[in-house]
Amino acid sequence: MNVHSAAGTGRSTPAAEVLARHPAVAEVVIVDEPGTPGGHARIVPDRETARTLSRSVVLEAADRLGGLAWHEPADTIRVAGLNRGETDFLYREIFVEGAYFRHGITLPRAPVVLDVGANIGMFSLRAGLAAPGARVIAVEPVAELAAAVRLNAELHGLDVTVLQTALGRKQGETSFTFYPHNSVMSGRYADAAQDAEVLRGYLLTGDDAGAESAGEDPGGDGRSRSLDRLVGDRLAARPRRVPVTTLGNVIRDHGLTRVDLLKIDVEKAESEVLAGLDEETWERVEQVVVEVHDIEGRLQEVLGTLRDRGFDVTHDQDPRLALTPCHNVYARRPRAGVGAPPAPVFDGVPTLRRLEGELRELLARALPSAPPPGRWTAVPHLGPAPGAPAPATPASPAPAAVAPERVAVLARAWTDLFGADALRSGADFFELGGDSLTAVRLLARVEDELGPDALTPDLIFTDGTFAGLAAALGSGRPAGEVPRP
Amino acid sequence: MTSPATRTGVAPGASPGDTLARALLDTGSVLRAGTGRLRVAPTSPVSAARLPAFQSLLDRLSRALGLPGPELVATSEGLTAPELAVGRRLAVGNTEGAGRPGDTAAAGNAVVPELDDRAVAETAHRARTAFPGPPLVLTARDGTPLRCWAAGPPDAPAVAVVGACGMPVGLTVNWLAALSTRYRVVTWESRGLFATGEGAGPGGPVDHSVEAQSEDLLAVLDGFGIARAHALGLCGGVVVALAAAARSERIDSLSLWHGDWELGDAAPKTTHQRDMESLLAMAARGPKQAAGLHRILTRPSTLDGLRPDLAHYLVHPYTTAELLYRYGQLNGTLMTTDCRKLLTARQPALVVTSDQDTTAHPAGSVHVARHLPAAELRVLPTGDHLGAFDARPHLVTLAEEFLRSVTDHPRKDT
Repeated sequence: MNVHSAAGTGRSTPAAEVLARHPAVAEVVIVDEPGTPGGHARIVPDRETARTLSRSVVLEAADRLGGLAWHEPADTIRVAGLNRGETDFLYREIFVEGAYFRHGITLPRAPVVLDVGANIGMFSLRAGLAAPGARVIAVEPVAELAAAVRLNAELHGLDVTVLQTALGRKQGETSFTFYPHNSVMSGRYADAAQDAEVLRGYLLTGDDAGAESAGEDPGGDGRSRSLDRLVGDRLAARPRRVPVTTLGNVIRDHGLTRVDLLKIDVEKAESEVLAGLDEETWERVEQVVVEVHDIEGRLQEVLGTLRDRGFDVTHDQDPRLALTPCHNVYARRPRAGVGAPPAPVFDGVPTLRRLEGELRELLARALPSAPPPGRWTAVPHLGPAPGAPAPATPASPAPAAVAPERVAVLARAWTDLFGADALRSGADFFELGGDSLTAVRLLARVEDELGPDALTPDLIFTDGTFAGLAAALGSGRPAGEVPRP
Repeated sequence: MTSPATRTGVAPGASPGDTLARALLDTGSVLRAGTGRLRVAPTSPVSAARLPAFQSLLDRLSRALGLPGPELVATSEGLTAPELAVGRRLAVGNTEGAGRPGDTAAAGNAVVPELDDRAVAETAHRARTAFPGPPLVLTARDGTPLRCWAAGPPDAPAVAVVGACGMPVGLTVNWLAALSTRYRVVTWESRGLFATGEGAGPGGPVDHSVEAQSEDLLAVLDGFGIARAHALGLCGGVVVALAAAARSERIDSLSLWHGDWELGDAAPKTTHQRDMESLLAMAARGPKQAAGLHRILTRPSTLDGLRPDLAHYLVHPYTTAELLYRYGQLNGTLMTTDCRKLLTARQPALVVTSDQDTTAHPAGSVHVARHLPAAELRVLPTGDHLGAFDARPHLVTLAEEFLRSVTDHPRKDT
């Protein structure tokens, strides 16, 4: 754990020294910032003791976050999400209320889980964190959401294969409505009026009613207008075309001899999804949990289908969805074991929110008179703070002559392999634990984006530092001509 | 680890001399891979005073076996991954026998087996004639020499075992042993990757096309006077077996075990497959690129991910830069050939994979089985990729059941 002064702009103060004592802090600097009493604490999280936080800043530095943002719906978990409100809703539904693990639904060791309608992957995380060795196949047709699932799997180190496709009765293509501000209702069978009614029902019952629509004129016309506006905003639609495959194909193509849990949340396409299973693949499914929109008798239809296939079935409804047609159906093969909901293990803690709280306490105990920093951020390395004057020593590992976009490619590959701490000029490939496989991956990643022989393997031996490799990228010189340190 | 009767090939109670001779032969392809002398270190402490005596024994046994003897060095510091793998297999300094971890001599006091010239000659003879015996060098249709083996009753139905590209015969010897009680089993080592003459090194450059590699199977059948055979492909060998079946009816049935398939967007690949593809593509680009990769791949840490009892086989194509370059071409071709065009082979086929194969994605095998006209698929609940080479009884039973169903006719010589 190191304390840094950012070249005259930061304060190598007793406060920073106290913060550096926290085991989740690898490095820390407190930077003076106009209008921020106590300064801006820039924290490099420890790769081991704050694994998830550390990975998240690395992924962000490598431009992987795109249009997503980091959300911390609880102080045990950090995820990439699209809308904070939705992330909170999904977390509460899946982790707190255990929506899918009721009525004896459980997971065996190293289960195979199919998460159909994965959204940002909250259920994939729930299954993966609860069952070590879980293999999750997540199906999500919306590119932005599929990207979130991939990112969340990587963030938490889980084995999740993401299939960016819709599921249906047969292979093909379909129109699909993506609601960017209410992604959980996106689907093939989106219907503006019907969806508005469901959302209205939810908002009138759910906690969101209090958070966003009440207050102006609770209970009156004002509230109704506000609700209409809110529903309209949330259901701004973005139609697109997406590929469709069948559930049977997914199971066969991935060689799944069994599916321990099939979870389906596909906004009115649930019967279509189940119709994509054939005799052979139905037999491989042990447990099913499906959200059913009970429109035109669909609940009874799904219950009937599952009973006919030999499942024991039951269903319930979330009280918050009492004004909506949404029900959850739970189905188990009689041979499948009944069990308690598997408990998720959050071992990548702390979140930034919790770390900030603990650091504030630490500071208050050690230096009661010192004002705590007014701003806290987690960063991959202690480069210059945004807007701060450039320090005397270049914090960017890229030599000035090299095209920044080429170095950015290397930086992304480098941080993906070694983490944020490693993004330093002098960091050496082999000292960071690089091995033959890592080298091949690094070379392949760089080649993919910059063309063949953008980096020659010899370079890793002649100068395996980040700066050395970055310099060679810019010059394009053959290995023999690279200056040795 | 492997059973004494098969892969290590040493009967219980064998003398330390026999054990060392078998270990030398078992690592022979690596010892003969390049022109330089391979360095090996003792795996148990050997005092400096005793090193010359061990060196002398290694030299005498190697000479009698027709191999370039390794140079014994005091410590493993600075040795490459292939050198370490060979050293571990030879296990110089262990009292009991090569490659048996835990049998260590008291520090520095390892006993040098004493063998006179006659005993050396007899020991070497026993090692060379032990299963699967010395290779027969046959000529491929384009003149490339191939190291080949045959075992089992000459009149029995024939099985051609097609191992993974670039792997020494030792890796498939368990299959040869298991099947040769009932079948005439033949196999060969990949073209252009093994020393076939008296000297070391893999000879001149060779045609690395899938056509040439699959023609080799037919050339091996010709060489042993076999008209028709079942082709049993393992890992990348499935591509060679399937390509041969697609071009010749002399392959009358197929079994394709844990195949490493390129099927375009029809089936996903594992990270390992993608890594290997990148590696082979880079290595195949030219000797210079291969030399750079060779330096990286022969770092000792490469061994960390390899099964210790198989490491001395698995490192073979990485032993020299030239071998790596050729391996890039030969195996790179197999890994990137779109096999969908080969799925027309009408011969009865058994396709085997396992959910636990994290090396070659099981989805590839599933797709192949679904699209071959006459294939049956077996997805086993357990068994990793390398485990397929162990030829455990349940796999042998599966193979034999299928073979019985398709090879009920006696072999007819050409």
